[in-house]
Amino acid sequence: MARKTILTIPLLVAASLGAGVCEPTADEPTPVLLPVVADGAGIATCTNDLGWTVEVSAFRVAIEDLEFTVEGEVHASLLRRLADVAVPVARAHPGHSAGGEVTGELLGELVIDLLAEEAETLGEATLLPGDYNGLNLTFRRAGPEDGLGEGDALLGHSAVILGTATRDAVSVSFEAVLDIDPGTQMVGGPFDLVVDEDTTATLGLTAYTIDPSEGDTLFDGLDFGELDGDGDGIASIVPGDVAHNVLMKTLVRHDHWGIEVQ
Amino acid sequence: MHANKTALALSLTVLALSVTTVACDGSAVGEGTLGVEIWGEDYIESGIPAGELADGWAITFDRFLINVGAISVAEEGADPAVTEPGFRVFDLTATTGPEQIVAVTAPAGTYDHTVYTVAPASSASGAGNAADADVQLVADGGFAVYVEGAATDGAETVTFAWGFSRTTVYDPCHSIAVLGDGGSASVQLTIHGDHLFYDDAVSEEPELRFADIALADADADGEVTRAELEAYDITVLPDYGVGSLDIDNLWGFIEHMTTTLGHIDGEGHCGS
Repeated sequence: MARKTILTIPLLVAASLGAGVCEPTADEPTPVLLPVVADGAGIATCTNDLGWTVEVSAFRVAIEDLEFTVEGEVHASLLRRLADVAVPVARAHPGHSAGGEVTGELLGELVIDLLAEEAETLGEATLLPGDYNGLNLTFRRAGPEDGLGEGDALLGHSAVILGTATRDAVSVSFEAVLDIDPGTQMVGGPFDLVVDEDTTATLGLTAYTIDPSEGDTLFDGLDFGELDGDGDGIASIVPGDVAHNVLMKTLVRHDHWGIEVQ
Repeated sequence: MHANKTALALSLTVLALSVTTVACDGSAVGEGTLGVEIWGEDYIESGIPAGELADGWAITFDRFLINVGAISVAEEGADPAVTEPGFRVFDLTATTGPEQIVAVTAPAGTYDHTVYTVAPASSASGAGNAADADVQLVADGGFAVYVEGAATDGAETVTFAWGFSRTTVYDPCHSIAVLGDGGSASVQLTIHGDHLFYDDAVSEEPELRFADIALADADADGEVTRAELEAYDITVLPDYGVGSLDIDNLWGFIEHMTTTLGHIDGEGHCGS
């Protein structure tokens, strides 16, 4: 569910441009607004490194602040232009590796359902013209303000993944409830698009169960047979489990997130 | 009353002129002494107390050797007023406060662009305040950073002696040295030794921990070695997040953290 906050940026853009507060000059580009949707295109059946074939049936994640990046130095006027409509977040501490210059963003708290029956619109991203190649996003914990029903498994957590893992004749249904430290960033997910003032496209935010670059799976390292300790065909992965830590740390890698341009 | 106001106004005028003498083009006039110093602060000099670690361990350093050089200090957009291309080895446990590296006569101004490098020592590395034998140790090992010390949780004590060979260029560092005419100012290369014990490489607010390092002592001989840390899997731990970094063991994690040791003027950050 997209929250109201994500609508304020495009409205601010429209208001400021309309009021002439930040009138574009002849050599200053105009920001481009592109819709962003939750896209299940990357959720594919996959076989992990231990031979378990995993089919995902549900995949929901609590995130915030999508950032879109270009490589190399950016003309100062372009960055100033973005700053006119939205305040970029400064990350000064070593450890936050730069995934490029942030020249596009969709700010706000989101709960994304990547396998909803109908593709969910998350909002409109504001992007300065440029050759985009990266996506950053921040993980958080879902709360009551997200409009989730009482008893929703995602409340208080970062992600819920449901599915079935099969190896040989054994099938295990699993539910993974993941906690990611709030503020943890995924930096540098793939996003390839040249944006200019004539660009019309929809940006599909997706998670990849199979790393498009190296073929690793999101579920590598998980032995679902061992997770089903009582042999009833059902396994839970929850905070405190070793399996939770393995899956959580894989989920935050840029290998498993990206933008599919529609 | 009037005489007092006049005297006050005159005093303020004199004060302003002495502090801020500006040329017609707006640039500062005059010159002073601009220095560069290095310091590991209390955490390296005196140790990291148990209250600072999330798991109750306390850490002390017996040696903290660092090979630093390729230093430049400039006003933004101007040529450097300080240029020190050579490398020197400092032992930050042997200091009692900031250790001067160099001091030069420089034009008055605001020096806000500093660059420095931490790199593997070689036969060309000189001695800062480090003993000759320690300079030889890091040169022979090709170490940029070499640490020796011990940690205890009150019941157990383990020692460590680790050499790291990563090169890190800290550029730009947003220094804050304001040099007036006839005055002096310094830029401080501040080394945060506690970063070696962070429990997350990408978090905004990591904790300090040592318990997993101690658990890595597989042969229980009381010393945690590089090999033991390389064999310690961090992918199964709730902590030691690495984001998208390709790191899966505790040695790789600590080695990565050596690239975050350098700061400027205390808590100031640098690009790298």
